[in-house]
Amino acid sequence: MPNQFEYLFSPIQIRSKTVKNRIVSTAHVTVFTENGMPAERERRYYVEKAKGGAGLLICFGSSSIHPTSPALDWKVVEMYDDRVIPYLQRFADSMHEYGAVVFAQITHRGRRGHSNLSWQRLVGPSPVKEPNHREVPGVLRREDIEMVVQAFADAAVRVKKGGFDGVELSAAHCHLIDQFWGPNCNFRNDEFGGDLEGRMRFGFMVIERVREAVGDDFVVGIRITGDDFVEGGLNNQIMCEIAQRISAHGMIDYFNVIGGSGETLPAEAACVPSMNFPLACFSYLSGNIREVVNQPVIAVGRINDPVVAERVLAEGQGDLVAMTRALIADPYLPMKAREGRLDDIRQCMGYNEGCIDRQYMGIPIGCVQNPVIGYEAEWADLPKAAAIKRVVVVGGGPAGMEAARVARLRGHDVVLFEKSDRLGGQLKIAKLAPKRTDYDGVGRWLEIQIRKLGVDIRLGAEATVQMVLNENPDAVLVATGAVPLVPPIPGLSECQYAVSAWDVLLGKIPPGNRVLVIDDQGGQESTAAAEFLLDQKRVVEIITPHYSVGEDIGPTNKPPVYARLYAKGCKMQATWELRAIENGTIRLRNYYGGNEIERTDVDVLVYSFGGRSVDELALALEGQVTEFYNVGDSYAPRSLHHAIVEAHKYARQI
Amino acid sequence: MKLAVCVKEVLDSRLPLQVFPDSGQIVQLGTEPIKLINPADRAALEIALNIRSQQPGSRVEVFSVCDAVQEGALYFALARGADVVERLAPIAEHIGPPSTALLLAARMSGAKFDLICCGDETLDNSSAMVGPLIAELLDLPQVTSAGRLRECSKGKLIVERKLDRGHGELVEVELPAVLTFKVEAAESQYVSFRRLEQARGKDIPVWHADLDLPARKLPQWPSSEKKLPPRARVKKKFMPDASLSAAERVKMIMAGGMQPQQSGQNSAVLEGNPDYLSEQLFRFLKHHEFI
Repeated sequence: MPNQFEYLFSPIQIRSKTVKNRIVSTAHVTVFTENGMPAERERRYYVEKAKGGAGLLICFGSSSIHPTSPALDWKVVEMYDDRVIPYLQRFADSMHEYGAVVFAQITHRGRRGHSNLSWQRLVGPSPVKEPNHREVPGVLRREDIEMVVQAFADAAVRVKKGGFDGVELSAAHCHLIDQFWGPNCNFRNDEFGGDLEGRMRFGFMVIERVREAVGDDFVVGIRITGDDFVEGGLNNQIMCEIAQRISAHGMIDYFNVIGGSGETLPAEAACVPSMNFPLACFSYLSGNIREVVNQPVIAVGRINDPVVAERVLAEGQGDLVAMTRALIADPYLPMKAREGRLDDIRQCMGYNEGCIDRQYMGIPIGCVQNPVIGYEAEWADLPKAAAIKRVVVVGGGPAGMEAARVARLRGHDVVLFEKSDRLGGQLKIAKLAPKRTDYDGVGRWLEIQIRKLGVDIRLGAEATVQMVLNENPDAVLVATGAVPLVPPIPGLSECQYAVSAWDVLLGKIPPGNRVLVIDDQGGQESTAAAEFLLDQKRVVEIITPHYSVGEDIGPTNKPPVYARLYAKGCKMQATWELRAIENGTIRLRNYYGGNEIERTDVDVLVYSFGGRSVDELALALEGQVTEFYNVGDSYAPRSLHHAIVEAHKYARQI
Repeated sequence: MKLAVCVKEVLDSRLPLQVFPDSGQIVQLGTEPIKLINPADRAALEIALNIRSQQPGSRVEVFSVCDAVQEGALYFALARGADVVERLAPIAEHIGPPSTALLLAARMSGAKFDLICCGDETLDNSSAMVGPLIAELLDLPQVTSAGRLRECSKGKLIVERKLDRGHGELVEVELPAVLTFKVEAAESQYVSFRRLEQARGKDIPVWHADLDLPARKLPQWPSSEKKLPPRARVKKKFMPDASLSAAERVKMIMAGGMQPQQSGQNSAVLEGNPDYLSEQLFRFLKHHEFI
């Protein structure tokens, strides 16, 4: 019988290096650095991936080759300084210990960013601002170009001295090399502009200088886009031409092909495709590039599972697969896949708000499902408890399940009460929204795990104080969640045609065609409810007191959500808040101007003000048991990420 | 007609199995392994028995390359009505499908069979190599993935072949020939417990290969070192039309390659009785090569 992962677990040669399997963690910013150096937190984060069995680790997203490249906003590795070398050596040794091949990405971000931290002007091929960051760059002169090219070579030498196996030049996300390529950002009329040959001259200078500096026995790869999804930019046809020329030039050892670009918000969202996109959605781009180049190609983009990965490889869309977020959700994915333990893999669901969306805010990445990310030094090991205790967990939502899982893994005897007949908590509602089905991935995994571990699960059991005490618990963890908050706005609680966004998703919708959605929560609650109603062909308008609808939706989630809402005819109005409901009239007030308007054209009012803790049991139990914890939304209503981290943290303390 | 059938005993794959990817070994989980005649081989046996019943004087001989403990498929063939069954003892350096085929071909060469029937693949290793290799070694014409027999006369036969996506073709072949049958080529008949017990009481003759079997003909299979899969060819996938705007391209990717549905454009509502509707549905699926 053929091996299920015939391609995934076969080795591949990249120049002089043999990579033991096809699983790649691609370069990404972690915001774990200390003063621009990849110190202990960064190293521990990657050690888990190396231990878990990934073949190739490309580290340090966008690390800077020169102080003029914006670095401080995301706290990237400063590869322009020799003091980085000892950090690199310690880092590379750790990865090699587990048999991983390790590369580092180097780049100059050019005009991509802001100069308000470095106080050095941005630079670019032409004075054209990036639509995303909106800061006009200074133009690189001939002698500046020489300086940047040399800086690339110097940084590559530092990577080599640091014991790495290779270096990756970033020419994706609209960094400096691809800013020169782009017909929409390079308007030079000297030898570095004009036709494709001119626009590629800078990139080739970098490639040649780097190769010359590092010698033959060192991998030099390049990251490119397969289609930047920007009007007038680098589409797939142009990129195939560019890739073909680079391949024929013969100095680059592999191509790492993304979809999208950092240039515009919609294209930036596509770069790290969230659950709004299908799985392996950009493998056709790497497939097209692979047809015109002679070097190995890495396929990228929501390859979240070894089965999908094997298909991408078997269908020739790439020679290696980027499973970056999949390895954040579960660094041990390769090992588990190899052992055939597919059910045990904590699958990345493409939620993005725990990883990439935090990075874009300049705060350390994590994972909504995997609380260990970023806290490997403290949490990578889960030691057994000194004494086995009887633990009662109340609530079968994500917090309750994570707490039960961790407590059980530590050896405790765990009972879990869930009042409904199914586990999942609020995930059961959230997954009903359009394009949010994958949201249930975390619930599915947790449920499989706690069932496997033998947690005593009591469904349909609404816990009372007496029920909990009857179990003679040594420790109690309450995770009873939240319900929609109804603030004391005059008329709201009595209003017959007002429903919460949760009720909309559950199908409890009053009759009527014209819908007004109040988005106060700022997340995806209101937009999900709005889209749900738009799909029923209702006329929907969303208002919010914030600057925009879904103000807090992360940057890789908001563009696809907006794209669908507008395509389906949704109207959105920012800066308006709900004041009162009186006899069928809805009064709205402008949050800044204070002026009020009245609306009488609304059949259904949908509100989303966030949650209210269900903490009655927690308050009654406190003080009655020796060890007591209230976690997740019943402690304070927040996000899934908070619930998981908090549950994990306290379950470790039992 | 003189008919030969090649069979193999396999583990019942409907029961829990564990596969060791590195060695390819399959182990049934549970106490006693439960074995059966490979379903496609069973279909091949039925075809041969059908021909015998239509052509008086025909004779069906059944062969299996196996150790003495794996004779179950031969007992089954005997109980089902084969004239002769014979076990071919594996050679010492037995190395999978090529040596199985080599033994079968050595046994059958010179025996002047009109038709050699095999299953197209086995439940366990699914190599689908033994039948074609026999044909090559005996220098006979072969038809793989055979379905039902349409016609069988002395010198030739006409057989359906199953192709991908529900397509089929009719093939005429001159005898003698080797045919490998798919499992659905013939319905299997019930064999009573009493007949199985009777068969079990008989001794199965064993044939030992001449030791100087042309060893040079044994191809390298499988080598002990792990083979790398071939460089995969690029399968053309859906991609949005390059003439579309960037926003439209992203939208199509997000929709999984579907054109945004305009009402009435790509859909049709059919009404009518169930027979008509099922006929139309079948035509639609066939037309679009879903079946």
